[in-house]
Amino acid sequence: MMLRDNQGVTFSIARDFSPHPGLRYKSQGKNSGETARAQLLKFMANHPSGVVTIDLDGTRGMGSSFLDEVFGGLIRKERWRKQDVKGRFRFKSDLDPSYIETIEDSIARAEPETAH
Amino acid sequence: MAFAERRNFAIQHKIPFDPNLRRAQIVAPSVLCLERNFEGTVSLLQEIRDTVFTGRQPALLHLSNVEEIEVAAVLALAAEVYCIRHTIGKTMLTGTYPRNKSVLRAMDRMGYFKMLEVVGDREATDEHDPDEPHYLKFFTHNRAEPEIADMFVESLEGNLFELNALARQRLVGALKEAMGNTDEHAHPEGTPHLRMRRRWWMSAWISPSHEDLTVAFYDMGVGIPNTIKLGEFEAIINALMSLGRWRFELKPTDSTLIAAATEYHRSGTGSDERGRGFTDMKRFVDTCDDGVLRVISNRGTYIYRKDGERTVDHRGTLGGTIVEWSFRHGGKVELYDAA
Repeated sequence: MMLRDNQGVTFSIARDFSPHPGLRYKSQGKNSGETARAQLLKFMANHPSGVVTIDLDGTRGMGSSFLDEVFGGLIRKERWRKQDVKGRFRFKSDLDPSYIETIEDSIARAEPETAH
Repeated sequence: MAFAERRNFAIQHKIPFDPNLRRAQIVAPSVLCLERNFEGTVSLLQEIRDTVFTGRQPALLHLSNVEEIEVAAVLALAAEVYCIRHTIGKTMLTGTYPRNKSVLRAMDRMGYFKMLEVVGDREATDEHDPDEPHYLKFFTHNRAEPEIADMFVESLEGNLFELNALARQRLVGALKEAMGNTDEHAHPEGTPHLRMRRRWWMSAWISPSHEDLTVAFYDMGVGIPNTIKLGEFEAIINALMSLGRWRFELKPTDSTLIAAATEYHRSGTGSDERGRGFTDMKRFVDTCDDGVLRVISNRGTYIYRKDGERTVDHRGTLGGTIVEWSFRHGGKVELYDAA
């Protein structure tokens, strides 16, 4: 589902992914950060330009590992550049602003993974 | 054990003497509590492991002398007995009931007997004591399904403990991280003699006044101290010392290794993917009026409050990890972001 408001396109974790986000990896169960990142990438492929608002409100609770895997994972695993992550997304979390801090921290610390 | 020896053992430990009993006898201490009797409690768990799990000797666990219990300790005991009954066989470890009626009732309400599928002739425990905590029955699972954390918190709310939306969301997030830590780190590949891989046990209880809530989470993994390499420990404390954030000894004891693990992420050392769970758990404590995070792993205890931290080292080992949050409030738990 896609919503367009006066600030552009919104991807809501609760609505467009799941109200019950899971853990970091697919192997750990459903609704993982890896799965959410894949879904977000599909969404971004349909919206190749402009700023996308990531709405973090409305879930039943998320752990830092999930958020780190979605957004830090764009840099570590998908080799996005940090400035592209910062430039393409705007984060909204009215209830818990610490989610945004976690994501900003993940982006700041993430480095592209090198093959072993 | 010879007849006379067995009789003397029974007299010494104040347990019934059965001349025909051929099982090993394991006697629980009167204080089953990691806070007030750590060594006695963990030596009971160790004796069960050594005798029944490793030694493959059938045993009778005497709970008859137990006079004082703590939920986290009973949860760890339930997990130990569960492990044996589900991996070796139900008949390998049987037990007696506590003589103390309030201890028996509390263990029943906690779900100790239900988890172990013990159906017996224990006395009816349906009388209500207004001074008794409300327990959520012990719960175990070997997956980290995201709905479980939510359902668990919903059960707490059903027991008259009110959380506002922010507190609720953060508690669910912290529980998911605890499950994730068990899944990701507690049972590393290649570790010999793993028991109950990926399985965790959880419990919660609410004070009679509905003002205190405690949630306990247990796994039988290798323990946090064993997941941190010495080089990592040094790197973490060097990073934290430069930030003025390290308050403990520099030597790697189990308790300081736990303390370092809780700061792994913030130290900026090693893999960026590790240690984020503790950040969520501490964040929850930071936003409570009066909250405590207690982490017991192997021979160490680490206690975190927003106004201070402390570590304690022990002789005996728990042989797993307990993560426990306690918090207090006078009405609905109102959390507001400190930022």
